[in-house]
Amino acid sequence: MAIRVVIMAIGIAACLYGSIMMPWAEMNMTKENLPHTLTLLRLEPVADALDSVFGQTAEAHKASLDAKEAEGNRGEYVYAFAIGLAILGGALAVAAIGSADEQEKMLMPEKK
Amino acid sequence: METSVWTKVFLVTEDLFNKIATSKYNPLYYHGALPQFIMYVLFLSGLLLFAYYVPTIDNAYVSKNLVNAFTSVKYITNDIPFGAVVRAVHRYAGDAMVVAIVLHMVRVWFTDRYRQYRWVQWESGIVLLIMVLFIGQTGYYLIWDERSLILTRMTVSALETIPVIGVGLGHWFLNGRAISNLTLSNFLFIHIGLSFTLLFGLWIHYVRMTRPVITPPPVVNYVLMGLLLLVVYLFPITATKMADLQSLTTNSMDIDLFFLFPYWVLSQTGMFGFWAFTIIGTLAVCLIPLPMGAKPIEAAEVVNTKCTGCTFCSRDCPYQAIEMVPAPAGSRFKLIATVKSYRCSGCGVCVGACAFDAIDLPNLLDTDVTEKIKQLSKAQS
Ligand code: SF4
Ligand code: SF4
Repeated sequence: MAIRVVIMAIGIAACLYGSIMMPWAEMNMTKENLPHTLTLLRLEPVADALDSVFGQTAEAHKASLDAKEAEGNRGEYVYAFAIGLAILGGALAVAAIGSADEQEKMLMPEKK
Repeated sequence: METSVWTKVFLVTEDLFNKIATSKYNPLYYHGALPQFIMYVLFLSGLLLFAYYVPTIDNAYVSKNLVNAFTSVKYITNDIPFGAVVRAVHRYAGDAMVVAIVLHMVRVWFTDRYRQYRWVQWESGIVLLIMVLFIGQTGYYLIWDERSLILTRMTVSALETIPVIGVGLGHWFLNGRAISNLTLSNFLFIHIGLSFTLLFGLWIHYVRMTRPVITPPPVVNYVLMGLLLLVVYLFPITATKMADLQSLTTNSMDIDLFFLFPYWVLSQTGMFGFWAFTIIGTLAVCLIPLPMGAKPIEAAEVVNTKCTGCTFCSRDCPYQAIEMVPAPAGSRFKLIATVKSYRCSGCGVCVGACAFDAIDLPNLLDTDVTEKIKQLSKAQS
């Protein structure tokens, strides 16, 4: 069971990371593009932190794609990475702790 | 019955997966269904690519923004939103399909599920695999880059070595005597036409199964989709050069070993080695069930005097081996079960299904089966 909890935790973390990263993945995201609600809620430090972390991450991904001579819009590959990570993480978390049917009901017919 | 070493290996692996994921989501329980899900991914991504693909090779006016197969693929990759990603998904889903089919085959082989009545599944599975390989190869021709041209030329020379019909086959392949615009129409037709024919092949593949598992649970599909997108990021599409019909160079090219390994064999061994590999390899996998499947299986037997015609056994039999037929005149019941012995695997499911002790396996008494199930269920709980 312990291993499943660990997988679930990693899965959830990956899912959150990928989901939050998505807006930055296509490279055009800046702090100004974040929802105005963040300012209203006085969450500028969060916005700053997100922008610096994910902005830099996206740039690093872009550089690695440049090195691989990827054809097409690099941002879209990074977006594929982010959404892939989110889907994979979420699915692994569900697979690890999702409803189990380990205890199958076994009905034994009464023989006449 | 003795459990083979390989069956044990698979059971241990399954157990390992069951420890990290709940048994409901164990991918090994869906090894047959995974290729089917991947097929849907391929159909959908292929449809998006098809919308913008132009199957011509005309390259006389490259400088004037000419639209041909190669430039349309470039357009998809560089100008259509997410075009490069869809292209890469289409390519890697194809690779994943080959991997999933081979895993399915290996597991079916090592768990002994290809014998006897299952020869239809084995043979149709091989035909499906060959079709998938050919569809994948035509996908590589369609890009119409330098590699496509080399592959096309290699295919034509391989076909032309076949006695009597070889030259004709070469012309069929090129849709004419030389490479022309019609050639790519033919490639596209083969690529898409054969893809849809897969559905018919799958119908034959499932025909003797009462309840084939053809859709993995959504979570397994999401895992696969997530992995596919990560692979797209890790191995992005890279630029290639347009095919030049004037060029006679046979530059070295990247070989996708999932689909293009026959070309690798051809380049390494020459024509004779290639055909020997293809023919002997195909025959060998096709004929495997014959000698290996000769292990006799005792089919279930119905005790006619006890059968009430309740149809439970026939509905539970996984291999459609029990047919309900009208009961003989004078019987109190309308129907009676009959076993088609050539389809019976001796699995014993029907013995468990019958509440009237009316069906037995010759070497396994009903009471023994019930006792064994009771023991197993006790051991598990
Ligand atoms: S043993 Fe019974 S359930 Fe199993 S294949 Fe034969 S007839 Fe069908
Ligand atoms: S389950 Fe038993 S009684 Fe019912 S049809 Fe089958 S053999 Fe006959």
